[in-house]
Amino acid sequence: MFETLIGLSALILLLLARVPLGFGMLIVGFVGSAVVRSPNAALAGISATIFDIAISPAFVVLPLFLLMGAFVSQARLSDDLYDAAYAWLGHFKGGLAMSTVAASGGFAAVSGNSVATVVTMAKVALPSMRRYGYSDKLAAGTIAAGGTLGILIPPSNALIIYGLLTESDVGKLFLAGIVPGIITILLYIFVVRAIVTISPEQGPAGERSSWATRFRLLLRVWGVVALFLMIMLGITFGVFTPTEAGAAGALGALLFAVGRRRMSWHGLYLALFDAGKTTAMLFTVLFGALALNQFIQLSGVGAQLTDFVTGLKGGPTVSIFVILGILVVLGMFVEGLAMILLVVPVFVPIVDAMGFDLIWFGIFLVVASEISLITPPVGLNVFVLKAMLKDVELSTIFAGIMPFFVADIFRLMLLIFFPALALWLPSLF
Amino acid sequence: MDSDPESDSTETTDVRWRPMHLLVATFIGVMLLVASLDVTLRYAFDAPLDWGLPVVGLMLGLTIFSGMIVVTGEDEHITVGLLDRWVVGRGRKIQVITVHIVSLVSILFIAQRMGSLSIRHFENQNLHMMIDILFWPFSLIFAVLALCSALLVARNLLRVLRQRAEDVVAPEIHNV
Repeated sequence: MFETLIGLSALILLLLARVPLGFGMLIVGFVGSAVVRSPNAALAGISATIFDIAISPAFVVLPLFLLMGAFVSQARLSDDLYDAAYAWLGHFKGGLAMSTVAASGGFAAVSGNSVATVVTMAKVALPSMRRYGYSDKLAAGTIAAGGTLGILIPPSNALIIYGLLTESDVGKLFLAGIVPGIITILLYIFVVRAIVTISPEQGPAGERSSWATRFRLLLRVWGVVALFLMIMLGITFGVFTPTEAGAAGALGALLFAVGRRRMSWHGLYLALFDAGKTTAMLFTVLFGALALNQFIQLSGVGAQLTDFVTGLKGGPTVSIFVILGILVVLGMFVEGLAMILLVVPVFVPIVDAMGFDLIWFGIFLVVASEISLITPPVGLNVFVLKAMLKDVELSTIFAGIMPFFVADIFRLMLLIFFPALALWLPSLF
Repeated sequence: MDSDPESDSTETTDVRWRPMHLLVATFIGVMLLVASLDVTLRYAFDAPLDWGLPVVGLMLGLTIFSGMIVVTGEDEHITVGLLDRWVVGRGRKIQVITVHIVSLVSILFIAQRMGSLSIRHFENQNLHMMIDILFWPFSLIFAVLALCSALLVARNLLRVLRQRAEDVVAPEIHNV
């Protein structure tokens, strides 16, 4: 226990000093393993871990879904999604903001990436919202919060990483993310509705589209629907492994972009390079996370922490609230995927020992990490949006996010008290 | 394929990085090609590539380690910048130097581990479990690529050491 506390304290110091997350975890993991076991065992463990992961076909699932997201971005499917959502929802008060939420959900379903969703939706939705006189607070809050859907709605990179780290079934994780994802979209739309009911000037109604236009635009998003269904049904019914689904999804997205004449050779090169670079960034952290995981397992602290947490008055539910509290506080400073990679080695042995379903915890963790993307003082989505909206104050964006943050906390409560929201769909297959 | 590409950081990057960018794109491109071919042949013709999955895995390794050079050279590793706004001047310089030293040690460690593994793979003539490919050239390439990343960190470190404290700028926070 003592060695682990020293190790985790050292890790926090390294991260505070801005040492890259992967390197910090690698060093602490290696030194810790060397102390609690032996230097030779630690050295051998690190070599095998890095090499085995680097050439593992099972881990190829991550870059393949990254590629799919990159191709989807190049294909500018987001424009079609937004147009379709606007045609159906735009004439309501706050309709443009609702359309942004719906389109973010659709885009998330094929991109798997939160930042990409924010950047894309800011480009697509913001000009319209400004043209119709939407308040910056509502517009920015909707885009930043809508962007968080990218990390939950399958196929999600965060769920893939969680699955790889915990050896959980990625297909089941994807299925488990669907209902909470839909609930999030509905909750966010409800939040927009509530905001414009209280202060209608924040989101005036847009133009009403004819029914013919609505259905015509809806038909244009068939590519998103087809990709999503191919992946989800393929994995669910055992036609594809997640890796094969990633390959089929990436190929499908590429063909779709080419078919729509929205993919140049240079665009293809950029998509490949971006996905390759992100792969390198993520795997560097994965190496570190697994080294840290090794240390924590060797130290036996998991069992001790489990005893401590399960000994808390109130049982497992209180323990989950304690973990939630830690995640929310941690999420103010550590972002999305980084948070998942950081906490999985520490928390998963505990929740596993307490008897919680690891698929459920994956969804719970991803939802908590979603919140971290928009909470002050460090909210990645907010900073990305701020970089694009230089004339909007950071405080305005954070103020716009607050109602969505409340909705997120409510959603976490729902997940805690009704775990079936996540577990029902996977239980059917 | 005829529309204009969207703008991207790649276009504004130092031209000297272009070959490395091309290498990363090539490795992941081959990975996609082989994985897609394998899936297509498996489900359309019931004739999957025997060598498909292992080659895809090896391409993953090459993508990671070549990509690590780009990420390291451009200071884009995933970081958590909690105290940045309070660290200025000499403190900033010390912070950036510390980060570079820890990064250098870490990457050299990875390079050393891959090098050591390569020697062991060579001595034992270890083969891939699924196809007859020797492991040692790959572990050696990983070691060399990691060493290149380490050299880039060393270069960045030397640059910072030569800079005046007030000129030192912390790299941007990165996450994905």
